[in-house]
Amino acid sequence: MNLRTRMRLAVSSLALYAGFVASAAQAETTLTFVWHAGTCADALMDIAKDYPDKSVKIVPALVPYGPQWHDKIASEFAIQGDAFDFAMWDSQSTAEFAAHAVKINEIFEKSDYLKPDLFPPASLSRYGEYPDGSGEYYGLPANQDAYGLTYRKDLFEDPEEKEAFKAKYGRELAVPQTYQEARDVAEFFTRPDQGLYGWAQMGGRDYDFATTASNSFLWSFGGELYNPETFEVKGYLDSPASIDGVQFYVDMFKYGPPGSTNWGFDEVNTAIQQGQVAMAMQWFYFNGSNADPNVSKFADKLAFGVLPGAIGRDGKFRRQFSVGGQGMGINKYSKKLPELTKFMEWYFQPEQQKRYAAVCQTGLKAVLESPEWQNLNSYNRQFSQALAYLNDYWHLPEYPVLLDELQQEISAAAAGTKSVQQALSDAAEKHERTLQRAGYEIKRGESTPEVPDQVISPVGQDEVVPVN
Amino acid sequence: MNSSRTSAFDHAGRWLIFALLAIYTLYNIGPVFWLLLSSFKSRLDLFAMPPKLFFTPDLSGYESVFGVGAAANNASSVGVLDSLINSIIVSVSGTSLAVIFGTLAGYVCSRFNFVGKSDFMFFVLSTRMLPPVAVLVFYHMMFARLGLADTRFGLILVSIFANVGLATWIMKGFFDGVPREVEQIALVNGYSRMYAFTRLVLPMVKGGIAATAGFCFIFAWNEFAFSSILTTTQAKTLPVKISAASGATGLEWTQICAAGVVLIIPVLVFFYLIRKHLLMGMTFGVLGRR
Repeated sequence: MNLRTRMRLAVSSLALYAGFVASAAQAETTLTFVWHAGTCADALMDIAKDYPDKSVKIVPALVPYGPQWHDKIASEFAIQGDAFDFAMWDSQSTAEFAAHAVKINEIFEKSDYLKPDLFPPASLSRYGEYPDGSGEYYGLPANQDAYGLTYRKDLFEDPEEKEAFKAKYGRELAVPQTYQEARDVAEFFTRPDQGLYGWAQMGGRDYDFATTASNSFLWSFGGELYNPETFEVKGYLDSPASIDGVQFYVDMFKYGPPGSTNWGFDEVNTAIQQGQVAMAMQWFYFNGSNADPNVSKFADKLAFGVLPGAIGRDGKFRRQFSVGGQGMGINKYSKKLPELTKFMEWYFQPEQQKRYAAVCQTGLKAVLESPEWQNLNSYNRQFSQALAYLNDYWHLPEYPVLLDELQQEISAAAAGTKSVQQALSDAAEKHERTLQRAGYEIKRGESTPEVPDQVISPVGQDEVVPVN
Repeated sequence: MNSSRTSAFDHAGRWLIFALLAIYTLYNIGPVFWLLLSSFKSRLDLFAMPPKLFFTPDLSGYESVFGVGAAANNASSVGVLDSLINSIIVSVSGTSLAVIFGTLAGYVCSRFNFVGKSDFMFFVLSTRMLPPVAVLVFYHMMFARLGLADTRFGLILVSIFANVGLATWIMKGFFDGVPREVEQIALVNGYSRMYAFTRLVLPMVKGGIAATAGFCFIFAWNEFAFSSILTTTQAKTLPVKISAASGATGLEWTQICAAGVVLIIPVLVFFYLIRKHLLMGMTFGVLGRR
């Protein structure tokens, strides 16, 4: 090999290397997201693999569901870091994270595709609006969820059970529309000698376990967590209607398996999958696996519905339960907003969201309104009904502290170490202290309502409005 | 008669001791056995009542842990390899350096008097008094500014900071147990302090070094709080990765148990390697000086 050939080879090699380096550098745009691990994160990753711009790579930074997930996002925002570019956070965290998130309104203005009318207004508000009613959004409804009812249809449809129930309670055995009905059904199916219990619900101290369930009772009985106008908590959280609701929640543990006052979502899932309970409060998120015969022994015997409401002390019927799911927010310290906007414009196309909706709950209106989606499985229809009855925690930056305080008190009430009245009074005391420390001015009214819902966006109706 | 009664008592006593030891062993091994068994059970078998001892093995937990088979494309599967490598590098480096620094500091504190010695010893110990969460945000800010966030080097530094105090105190205890005359004889015979330290004193405390390394390694290997906040994608360690093992069914217990088995294997290997020195080290030299 002469010198010239060697030179040619060297130049060719260099050119090849330069090309390789250039292409490698081109493929180096990574968009990192934080979310709790699970099916929905898997679905996002699965879809992202088909993103046409191969120079952009979507990288998951998955954390467990619970406080770690919140802390991961909060700690990065605290240092104004860009370790992740976007994140899925709980709806109630929007208030806390808004100061560190890109205002989605700016993206709506600049983008040709991403517009508010792509999403149901209620969903957009629920997963991204802060302050409430302001029209300012900090997240898109990436993953919707609702607290729901799972029940053993084999028991509810059994002629012998139906007959026995009618003989005992004087009415037909049916999916309960009110918690008062649910109590009867739960009592009827509570047969410890057969290993069967009537009702499963969360009661654990961790994260939002106990309060997710107890709030659903509290709101349905006409209670409220606070007055968002005056920031009063005393007289609202511990109002007679709130106490009615939480007392009913605590009483329902009588029909649950032993030890269920400590349960979180996983124990509830296990009870459902083992056929241990006739009814359970559980997130729609888990219906896919609970209906999967590879996971659930009772998959073919389960049905899914909307949670009951309650007739409150004012005679009004209310059906209110906890919202789940997450909005997709953008880290305002990220330096990759143009690439991320392009990705989001692609990701929120119906084609991608249909794929997502096959395993999780999308927030895209075009998919939610399609009959194809409604009939995709045994719970989407009920889920679309459930969206009308959702309520949420405080939309305040102090949410994590308020949640922890309420969790402490409600789980104590569930465990029986405090009366419900005492627990709610103590929680109200703590909450007002927390709000005052944060600088809120509590404007105390002359009196507080017996049924707070009557004065705060009332939803009470004169008669039971059946669903399911 | 008396002799046979004594013999019977001895016999019964021996059986009692064996029985107690068997119960104690079962108490310790039981959870590990349960973990191992559960790592091969499907979710259906995991929660079956009564619990199943015999079942069709399900490898999905290990598939998920190693990111192979059906779990190859799941972002939520643990995908242990990267995080295992991270854990090994961080723990081994962090432990080695902490033990080296701790040994040197322990020797100095044992043999020399200097101004503020007791304050220094208290300061060193105080680094273990703070709960990690109290300093997490400051570490996070500092590491982000220095470009150490989400890097193995950053975690190694954390591991050293966290363990060097413990190592110093433990090693000081071991050096205190070595008679000063050992070095004095060497010095009188013209050997240097370094020679006395490396050739005479260190071999006498190698059991202590092994025990200290064992403690530090366990702390470093299981460290969670700092790793969970300081890492995002690149430097995630195994405990952090395992904690995110949740899926459609909620907590993926099969996957968590499989990852738990994988997590304890390196610790077992490490302790197997240092087992000869460990017993003496764990008793802080008492057995070794007999």
